[in-house]
Amino acid sequence: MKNRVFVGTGAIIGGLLVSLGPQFIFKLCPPTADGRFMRCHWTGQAEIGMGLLIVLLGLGLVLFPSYEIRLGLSISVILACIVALLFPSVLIGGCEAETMACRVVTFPALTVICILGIVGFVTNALYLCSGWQRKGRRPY
Amino acid sequence: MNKEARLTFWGIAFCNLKRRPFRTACLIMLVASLAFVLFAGSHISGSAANGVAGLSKRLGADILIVPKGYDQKLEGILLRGEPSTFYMDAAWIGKISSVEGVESVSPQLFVASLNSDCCSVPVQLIGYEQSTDFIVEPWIKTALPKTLANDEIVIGGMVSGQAGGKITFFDREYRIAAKMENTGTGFDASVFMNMDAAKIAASDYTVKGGEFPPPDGAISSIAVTVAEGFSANGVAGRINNVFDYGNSGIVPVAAKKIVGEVSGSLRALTGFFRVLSVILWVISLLVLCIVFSIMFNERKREFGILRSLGFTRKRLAALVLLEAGAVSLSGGVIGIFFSALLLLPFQTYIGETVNMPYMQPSLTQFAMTAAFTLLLSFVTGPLASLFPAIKIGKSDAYAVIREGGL
Repeated sequence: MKNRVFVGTGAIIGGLLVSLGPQFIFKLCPPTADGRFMRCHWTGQAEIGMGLLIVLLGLGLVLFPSYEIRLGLSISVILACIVALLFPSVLIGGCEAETMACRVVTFPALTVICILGIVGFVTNALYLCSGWQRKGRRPY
Repeated sequence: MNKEARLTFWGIAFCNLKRRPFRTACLIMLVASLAFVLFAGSHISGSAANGVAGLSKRLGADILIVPKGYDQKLEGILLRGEPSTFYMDAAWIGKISSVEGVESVSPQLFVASLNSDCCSVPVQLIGYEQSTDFIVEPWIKTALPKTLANDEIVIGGMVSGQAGGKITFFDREYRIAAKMENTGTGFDASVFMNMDAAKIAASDYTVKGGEFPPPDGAISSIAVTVAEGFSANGVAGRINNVFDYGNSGIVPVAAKKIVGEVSGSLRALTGFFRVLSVILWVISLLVLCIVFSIMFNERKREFGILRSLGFTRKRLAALVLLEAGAVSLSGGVIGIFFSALLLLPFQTYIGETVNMPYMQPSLTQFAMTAAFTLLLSFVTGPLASLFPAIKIGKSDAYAVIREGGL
């Protein structure tokens, strides 16, 4: 129970930070003077969706007691974090100048959150596997 | 058939640490915080030192002459790339070159761009006289072995765009002739062009920005090299005397003064991190010393049983050191991981915050810093448990069991 609440809450907080952080906390670059959005804006939009998906997976981790389901959800969170990490770096990108707000604050913050998520949920998946073995079930 | 697990020497140490997860986690956290501060401090100081070295290397002038009151703006341009626009009369070029001790002079023109299509923040446009320049040209030459045309520019490492691409300033399109490597100085966020192109940009700036037009033939600064046998401070003082410092409207800034001020800030920063690291290391060592002493005192009975089962004194001491070493090694790895996780992505932000030239160390420097931090974190545990380990090693099995209350 403790693991479920702790890990699930971590995923919910992480997901909220991924989706809402770029909009409100570590903000993306504002639109240009003529109202055009720069590339980083679209990365922010994609992160909203990916962050909300991580929140839902986190809720699942809290609600489902089954080892198998939690292992599956943990692997899904890892994959979601990898995609969230790839949006700013490979899939969409951001402003080219290294001094722009998105490159200075937003993308680094997303990188830190996603890497922590990947490391945390890989550890959780291994923990669930070992717990599974302790209970005498085969992990595969 | 069930395979029975064999209890090894390493297994005993691991089980002992696992039996008290909260205490083990706290000890690991303590060493991790030491490793975090040590690694972060060394990395930030090293990056700032690289930046200052880059600045001294790039600043080819001995003296820079700017309009009075703009010496701080000049530092902002050189150190942080803060865009500014200011002018002085070009007639000063001839006057300055006639001063005794001045070997060569070269003018520059600084124009701050307005928001362009590439960037939502202004960048510094720097025009330089290609025939007399000795500051920009020597290191631009590595990226661009020809003179710049009026529609060509060279961009700093942190400005968006690639060589061969186009970039627009004040609705005028320029071709990117080359992109410089990062230097850790304000030049990284600057754009270089020839003097004629800079004059056109300055007049565009006045039209688009609604500013007063610059006087004819205006420049922003004059870079001066000093002849052999003369000192930069001496020549700067002579310029002040010859042109009546109070009324001339110009100010000579010795380049060494700028580098010296930055070096002073770097020394303060390095000193702060060193003191913090030493304090944290001593605290970690003391806390670990106390915790290990209490911990091993509690486990006397266990050690007595191990001795009676055939463990030699040396082996028992080795078990104690192994447990301490495992704690400090884990702490060291975790501390370095979290430190690197914050430092690497946020390098531009940290560079802006420390307010001095900042350049990330090379991979070798980075690996050496990590190795040094890991080594220092690793020795902390065994060093702290050395006294209890020696004490346990010296006592005989019967005494240990009796003290343990068996």
